[in-house]
Amino acid sequence: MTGEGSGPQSIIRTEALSKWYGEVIGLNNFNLDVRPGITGIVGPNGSGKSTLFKLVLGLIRHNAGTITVLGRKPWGNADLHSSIGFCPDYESLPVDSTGREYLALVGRLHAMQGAELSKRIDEIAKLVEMGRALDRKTGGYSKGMKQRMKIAGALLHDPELLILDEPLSGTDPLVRKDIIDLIKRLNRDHGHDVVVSSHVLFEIERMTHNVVLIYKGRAVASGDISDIRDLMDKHPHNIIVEGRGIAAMAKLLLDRDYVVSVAFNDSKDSVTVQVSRPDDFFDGLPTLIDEAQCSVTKMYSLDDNLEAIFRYLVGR
Amino acid sequence: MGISPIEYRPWKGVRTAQKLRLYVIARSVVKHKLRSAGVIVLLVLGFFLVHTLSLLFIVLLPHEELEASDMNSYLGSGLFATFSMLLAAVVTSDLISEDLSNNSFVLYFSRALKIRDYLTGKAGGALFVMSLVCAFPPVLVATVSMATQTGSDYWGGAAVLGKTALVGLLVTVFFVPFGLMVSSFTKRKSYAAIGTFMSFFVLEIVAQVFSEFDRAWEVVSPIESLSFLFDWVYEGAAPYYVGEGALVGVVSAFIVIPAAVVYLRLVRQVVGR
Repeated sequence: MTGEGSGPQSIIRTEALSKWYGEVIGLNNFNLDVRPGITGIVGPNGSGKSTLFKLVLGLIRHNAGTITVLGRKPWGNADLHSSIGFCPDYESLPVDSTGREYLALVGRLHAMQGAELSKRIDEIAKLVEMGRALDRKTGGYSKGMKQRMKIAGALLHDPELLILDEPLSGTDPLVRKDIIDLIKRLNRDHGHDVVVSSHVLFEIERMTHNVVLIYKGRAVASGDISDIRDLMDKHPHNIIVEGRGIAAMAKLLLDRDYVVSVAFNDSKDSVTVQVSRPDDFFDGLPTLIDEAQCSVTKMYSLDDNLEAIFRYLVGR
Repeated sequence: MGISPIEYRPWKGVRTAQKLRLYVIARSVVKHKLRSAGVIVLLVLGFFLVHTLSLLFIVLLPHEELEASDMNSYLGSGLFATFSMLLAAVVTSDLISEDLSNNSFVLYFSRALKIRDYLTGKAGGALFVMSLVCAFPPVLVATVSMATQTGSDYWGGAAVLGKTALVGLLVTVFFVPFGLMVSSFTKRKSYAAIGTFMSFFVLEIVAQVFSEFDRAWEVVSPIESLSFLFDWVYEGAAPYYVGEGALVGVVSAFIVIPAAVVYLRLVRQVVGR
């Protein structure tokens, strides 16, 4: 999805795109080619996701390289926004306005008006299930309601491209599932191309298989999520196992071909296992426990945090 | 509360028209301001304290024609300019500060809108509200004066009416850019309102202090500079101690410099860094 092979189908295309703020690099030599569909942008906080979106929206000017969105250059091209709907990651609703007033303002900014606009507002509010809260001040909304109202604002003018910056942040699991379903439906049933960011790979995986991993302003991996998982599996994963009789388990582990190393931690009841194929390790764990006659009280992977995965990918 | 998979229909309408967007922002400002109790109180007070008395005098006292000197003394007394200053401080205080506070810039700039459009729309709304005290009432007073005059020189009166419209327009425009500029420096509208009013107040003090040495310094005072401007428009000349070039320079600076600062500030603060 990155680098080679652009064409008229590219929704967003960047080549050697760089943006810096004084001495701080926001994006560095960033290559990206987003095709129609849902694309997930995954990266830890401060990785450059928001900078990328600002550049896509033409809110900031890039320092080097090129960027095109829907075949057009975004900087200084305000008309392009008629085709883009943006849902920011931070709170941006005018607190003194009701949801209806907010959506009406958004609609009017897109030259929607009159009875058609009112009808559209009701329709979109129903879609994000905010119909009942439409006439309440947005200042009194919960986090989840604000997220949905922001998505409604992004959707109102029926843009070709939807850019959702961390739309799931701060939402409860039920709302999270609903938003994920909504995003998938918007693409599948209504043809919107969606670029959605998150710092949780798992969340993106539930929406799409097309992902771009960003770390420290660089696209460190992109493509199908299974390819990225394969890439990740080439690097040993560190798993900590704690419990009683762990020493016997450690001895058995050394015979397994997917185990790179086993090291005891501060106590004999805790080991760090470095594995090349985590899935094999987890699949074989019940057998191991049975064979070693041990009990596992706690087990966690040091590589579960995205930061560690990114460090692998950039070879640190 | 979950999202129901209800029917979703794409929007088929038109989604452009730049002029309409300016109007949308201006209308939003006007609607917001005309719902604000503080602004309404100021508008009503301003109308009664500044304009009603003059209106009553004109209606009750017989006069041959609309005189420029009468309009100058009515508008140039200082009360009109002071009230306009106060109203500008209140009207402009939250125009940008609130968007800074709510991060609402993205609401505007992720739409087909540029900074200059945003500022024009915001200023347009504020100018309309300001004009309710600064432009329309003086024109109304002048019109009533012409309608009730005993003489037949309507051409002379029409000229004064035109000058009154110009003066009203100048006062309307005079304070808004400065208020917008101060509003762009804070996230709290109370700070913006007080900041705007105090900035003018400080300029008044500076003008008073330095005018002890040279009366030309009076032009630094926003109220005095407006008063000199009225003299120039109505009487054909500013006071002898104020150069007309300096007067134009100061008045232009009051309008252009804050407008440029607020534009650059938004470019720096919000986008384009």
